[in-house]
Amino acid sequence: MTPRQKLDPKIRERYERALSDEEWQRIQALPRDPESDEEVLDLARWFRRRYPTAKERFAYVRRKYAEWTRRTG
Amino acid sequence: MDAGDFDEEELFRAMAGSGTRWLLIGRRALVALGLPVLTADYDFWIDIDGIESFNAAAASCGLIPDKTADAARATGRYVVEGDERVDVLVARQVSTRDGVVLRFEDAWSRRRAVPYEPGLSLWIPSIPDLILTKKWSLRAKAVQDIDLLEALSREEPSS
Repeated sequence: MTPRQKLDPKIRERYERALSDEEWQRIQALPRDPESDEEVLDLARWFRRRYPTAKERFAYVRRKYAEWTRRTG
Repeated sequence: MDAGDFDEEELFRAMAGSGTRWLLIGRRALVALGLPVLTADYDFWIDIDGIESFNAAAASCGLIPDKTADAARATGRYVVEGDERVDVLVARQVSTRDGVVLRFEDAWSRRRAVPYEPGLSLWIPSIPDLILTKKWSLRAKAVQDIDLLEALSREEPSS
């Protein structure tokens, strides 16, 4: 099985916690940042161009995940 | 420790040949769409009437269900596992916290195909439906994924 990254318990708790309704409404009320959106689209365009198939994209993420788990142990 | 003998391509081919309707969800669906986010998980949403066929396909890849089909139908989800662990959602519909219902049938009708390799495609929900799946539990970790998907939806002619 792919070894899962072991997060620090405090980080995992923050990452996995359920948002309150108020938190979610505050997040939804934030205006979108067109520059940030364009950065995401640029990243996606590069990723799709460099790795045209899902198989290649999954292989890339697998490599990066393995690097991450090796680095942070 | 490594991933053992799990062959991802073998699983997708087996699922494509199973006749079961299935959708790839979770972060791996974002990767398939072109967002390089980290994940080690496989999450599927399948037709509740196709559990047996899906399980047969998974078993051909060494993945065994952790519940009977009837128990899975009762709880709405289960896992198939072996050298990999795959989460399987079988609920006919799921609601977001604010009450928006997403039915499997509707998600299926709006699905999109993403090429895995020539001759084999993956079924992914539409971006709006994928966003809804991320709103099911509304955990902090879903917020970034929703943000990325909403950015991606801006380039879609009709999401």
